[in-house]
Amino acid sequence: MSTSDEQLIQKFCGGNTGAFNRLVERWQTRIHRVAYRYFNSHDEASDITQKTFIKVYKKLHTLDDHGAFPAWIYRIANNLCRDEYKRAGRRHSASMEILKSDPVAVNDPDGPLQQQQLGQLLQQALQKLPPEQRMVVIMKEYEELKFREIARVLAIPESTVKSRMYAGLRSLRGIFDQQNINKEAFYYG
Amino acid sequence: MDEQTAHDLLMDELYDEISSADKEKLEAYLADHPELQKELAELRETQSLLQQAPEVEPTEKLHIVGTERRSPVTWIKQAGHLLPRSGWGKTALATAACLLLLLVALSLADLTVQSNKAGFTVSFGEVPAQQTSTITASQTEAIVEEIRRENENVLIKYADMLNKHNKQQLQQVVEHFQRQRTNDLQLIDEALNQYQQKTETQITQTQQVLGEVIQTVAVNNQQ
Repeated sequence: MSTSDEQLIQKFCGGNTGAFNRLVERWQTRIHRVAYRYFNSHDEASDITQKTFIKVYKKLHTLDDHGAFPAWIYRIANNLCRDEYKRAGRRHSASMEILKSDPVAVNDPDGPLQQQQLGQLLQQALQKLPPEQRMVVIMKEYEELKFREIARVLAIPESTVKSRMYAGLRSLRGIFDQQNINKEAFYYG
Repeated sequence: MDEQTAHDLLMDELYDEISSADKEKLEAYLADHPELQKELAELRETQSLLQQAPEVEPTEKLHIVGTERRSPVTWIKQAGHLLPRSGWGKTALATAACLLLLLVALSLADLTVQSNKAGFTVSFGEVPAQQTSTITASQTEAIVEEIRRENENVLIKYADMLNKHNKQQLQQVVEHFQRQRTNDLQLIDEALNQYQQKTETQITQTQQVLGEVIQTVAVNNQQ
């Protein structure tokens, strides 16, 4: 029977660093995935992931409700993403401008897309969303959190989460239509 | 139902988070609003497109290195990895350990090593008192005189040796220059001889040519 996050946290608070390493192993991919979807950059994602775990390492003993760990670590990652976005806003805005003018080249618009091209197209579409909508879409679509869990992570009402999700999906729909991206384009075998 | 509530319920429906009561309400609302039905279908397609994104994996694994609490047994096992593996390393370590043990043992036994004119003194425990001797003034003068004489002899011998050495070096230099001079003179003599022979040959040739020219001119004049 595998050890739960709560048990690992308990052990870590008791001085067992190995338990923290197990937590890192469990959560690194998820945090990296969130940051990567948010910034469309593995470098930024690695940086955010590292900072997240440093913060977790320093503050984990202050978390009273160990069951709230998932929401807590996602909140740390979200805050770091938001801070980085604000700090390097100009750089990210410039990237956005490039994305607007230079979409992924599709050799054959009528043919099926390669998986890598598809990934980049979806990433570019995500980057065009406002950051607060983007994070909600990421947490719902890729982290598969419930609306109430996202509300808890972002410390906003559940209805606001749904509104952002709705707006985000509609914006993405518009982007996909604009770039003629549909289900048929995504066939790859 | 207002528009905002309808949108919220659309989201619940899309992600299977809707209660049965809300589902009934939404279905009733959608029946009256076909444009919203169409929107739900579009949102479903958008959602399925997003799900086509490839998986994302971190490029490298993070690992936190910290100070872990270790039991004495674990500590000894881990310390064992620090021991040398090669035969030389083990020998060196064993030698160093023996030396350390020896030093500790000697230290505990109050080992004392002293050096004086008579040589070395090695003792354990308390150092024995040194025996003192007295020398008279006349004996001291005699010793000093003897040392002075020895010093003079050494200096004289050294001066003689130095003188001989200098003379030998000077002789060698003179011989070298003499040999060099002889060689140079021989070379000059040989060069002069060659030059003289060459000049004589040239004179003979010139005379022959002149004789032929005079003869030719005389024949022409007779004709």
